[in-house]
Amino acid sequence: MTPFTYERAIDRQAALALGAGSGAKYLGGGTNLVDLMRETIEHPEVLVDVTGLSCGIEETGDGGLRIGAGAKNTAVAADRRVRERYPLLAQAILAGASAQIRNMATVGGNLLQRTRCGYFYDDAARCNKRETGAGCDAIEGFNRMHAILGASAACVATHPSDMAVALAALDAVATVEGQSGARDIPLVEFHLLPGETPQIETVLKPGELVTAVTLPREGFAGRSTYRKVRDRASYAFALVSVAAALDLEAGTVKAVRLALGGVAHRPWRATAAEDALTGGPATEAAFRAAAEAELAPAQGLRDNAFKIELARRVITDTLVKLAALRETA
Amino acid sequence: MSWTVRLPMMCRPAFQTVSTVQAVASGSLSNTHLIPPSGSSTKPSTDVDVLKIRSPPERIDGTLIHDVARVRCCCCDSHNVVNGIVEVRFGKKSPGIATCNAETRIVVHRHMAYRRRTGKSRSYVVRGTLSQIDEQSSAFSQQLSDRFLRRLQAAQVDTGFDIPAYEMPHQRPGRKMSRRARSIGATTQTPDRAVEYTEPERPGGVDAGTQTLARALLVDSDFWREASMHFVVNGDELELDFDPRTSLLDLLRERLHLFGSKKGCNQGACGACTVLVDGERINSCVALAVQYQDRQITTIEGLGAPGVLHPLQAAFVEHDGFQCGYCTPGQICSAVGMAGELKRGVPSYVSADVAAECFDLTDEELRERMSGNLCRCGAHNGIVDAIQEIFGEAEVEPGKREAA
Repeated sequence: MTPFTYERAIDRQAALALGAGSGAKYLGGGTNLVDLMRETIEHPEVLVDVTGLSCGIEETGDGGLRIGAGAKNTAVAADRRVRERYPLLAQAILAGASAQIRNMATVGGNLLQRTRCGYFYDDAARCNKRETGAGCDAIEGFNRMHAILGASAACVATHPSDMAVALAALDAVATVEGQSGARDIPLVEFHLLPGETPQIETVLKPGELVTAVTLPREGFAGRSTYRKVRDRASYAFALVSVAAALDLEAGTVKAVRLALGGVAHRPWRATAAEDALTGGPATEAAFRAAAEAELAPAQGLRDNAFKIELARRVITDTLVKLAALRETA
Repeated sequence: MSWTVRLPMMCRPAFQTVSTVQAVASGSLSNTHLIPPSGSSTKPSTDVDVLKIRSPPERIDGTLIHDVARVRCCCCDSHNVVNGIVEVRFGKKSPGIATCNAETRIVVHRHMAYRRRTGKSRSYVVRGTLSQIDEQSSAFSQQLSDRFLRRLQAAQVDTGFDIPAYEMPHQRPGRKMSRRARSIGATTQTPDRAVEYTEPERPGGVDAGTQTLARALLVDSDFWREASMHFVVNGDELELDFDPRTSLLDLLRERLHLFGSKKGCNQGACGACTVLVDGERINSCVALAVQYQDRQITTIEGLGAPGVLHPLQAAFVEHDGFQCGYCTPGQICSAVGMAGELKRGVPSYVSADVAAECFDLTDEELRERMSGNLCRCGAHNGIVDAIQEIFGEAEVEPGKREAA
C-alpha cells in the first residue's frame, strides 16, 4: 500500500476542503477502497475519512426519505421506514456482500465501489480502466461476469452494486456537494457507460462528495422485489439481478419499474421494457416481450452470452410472480 | 458553520458521549447546552469548551508540519492559531500521518492559576476523547502543560509571551495531585473554582510566538508520545502509535499479539478475521485501524478463554463445529454479532417479509446470515447446530446431524 495521510473530517465543510486537494480520496467503510489500495490500484495521497458525517435517515417533507451517504448499509436495510415503504431497497442491500461488509460499508461508498473485473485487479493484465489506452484483456478472456449491455470496445466491466440497482429502479436522486455547492443527480444518470473513457465511472467532479440519496414518495411497497441470480446461494456478485416494481389496475400495468444488475457498467434501468409494458396487459407474454425488447441490443462475449437469455427469463419470471401477488399495501 | 458545546465535565456513560459526538459530527447540534443524564455522577463540574479541529498539512515559518491540527476557536470562529492556544500535533511523529477522529476534541482548560497570578488568559490544548477527558482531563492536562513548560524552558525559545516558572504539580494551588506527587508527600489542595473566561487578543495570523513554539515542539519527540491513538480492545484501554496503513487485523495480531482473529483471504471474502466493534461484526482485514479508535473492539479472546468458554465456544466443541479450526474464531464472533442483529430486528435476504417485527432463526436464515464466514473443512452442519443451540429457538441434540 502506498503511504498516505489519513485525515478525519469533522464536518462536511472540512471534508470538502480536504477532499479538494490533489491526490485526496474520500474514505467510507473502506471495504472496497482499502482492498484496492492494498492491490496498489488506488493510491491516494490523502484519505479523508467521512464516516460519521451525514449518516441519518430522515423524512423529506413530501413523503420521501433522505438517506445520508454515511449511513451504513445495515442501518438502511434495518430502518423501519425503508423496510415498510421501500422493501425493494432493503432486499437489494441485503442481497449484497456479507453481514460483516454491510456493517462497514456506507451508502456513498456502495455507489462509488469499483468493478470486480478480474483483469482490473490483476496488474499483470491490460485494463483501460486502470491504465488509459492499455487495452482490455477481459474481452478475449474469462468474461463470465462481464457486461452484455452498454459495453464498449474499451471496457466490458460491470458495476457490482445491488443497492444501486434498486435505487435506479426507485428513481432515487443522489445529492453531491463540492466546494462550488450542492447538486442533485438522478441515480440513473449518476453512473456512466464505459465508452472510450472507462476510467471515468460517474459524473462526480473531482473533490465532490456524495452526501445523500433521496427516495421519492412512491416506494412500490405492495408489489416489488429484488431478485439476484448468482453462482452460489449467498455472498456472490450477481450474474443477473432484477429490481422490479409493478403497479397494477384491473390486470393492466399502470406503472412499472425495472432495473438490472450485473449486466452493464452501470445499474441498467430497463426503460425499453418499461415503455413496452406501461398501459398494457400484465400477462406473461407481455412480460416476455418486454424482456425481449430490453435485451434486443445485448451482446454476449465468449463466456457470458448465457446471461442474455438468463436476463430475459429472470425478468419475465420476476414480473409474473409480482403480478400474481395479492396487493398488500 | 460553527458550533459550541458547553459540556459540564462529569463522568458520563460512554453511550452518551458517543451520541453527543455523533450529534455534533452530523451537525444536528449547535449552540446547545447539553444536560447530562439524570443519575449520572454528581462530581463537581468544571466547564470546558469543545473546539472544532482541522488537520490540513501546514507550513509554518517555512517548516513543513504535516500533522498540525488547526484549532478553530469556539468563541471567535477564527481558524488562526490564537494567542495562548497552541496548535497541537496529533498522532505519529513521522511526516504524512495525522490522526484525529470524530470522537476526538480539543478541550481548552482555562489555566486558572496562571490567570490569577498574571491577569492574562492562557489556555492549553489537550487531546483526548470526551470520555477520556471526563475521567482524566485534569491530570492529563496538567501533565501535558507541565511537560510543555519544561520543554519551553529547556529550549529557551522566545515564545513572545512570558513563560511561568515551572513548578511541580503539588506546589500549585487547586491541582488534582498525581500519584507521583502523592508519593513524594504532597498534601491535598482544595479544587479551583470556575472562573469566567475572557477573550485574549487575537492577531490575524499565526503569531511569531506560536511559530517558535511549533518549531520547539517539532524537535521534541518525547512530548508527543502520549498523544497517540486510543483503542479499547477486549476492555483494555490502549494507547498505540502506528502507520495508518495498518489494518485492524494486523494491529490485533502483529501489535497486540491477539492471534485468535485469523488472516484468511485478507480481502473481506472469507470472514476468518471477523471481530466485533461496538457489538457489530466487521471484517477486520479490510478495516483501517485508524478508523476504529475509541470503539469497543472485541476479539475471540474477549469472548471467552480456556476454562471460561463463551457458551457458543462450548457449543462448537459439543457439536463438532470445526475441523482445522482456522475459521472458528471468525465464525463465533460473527454468530455473536448475528445474534445482536436478530435482536435488533435486522432482516436478511431470505426473510419472507423484510418489514416483519422479528425474524426466526431458521436454518435457512442462519445459513444466509452466516454466509460471510466460509469453512473449507465443511463443518457447516456442526456450526449451524452449535449456533442454533445457543441462539436458536429450536432444541438441537448433539450429534443429531452428521458432520459433512
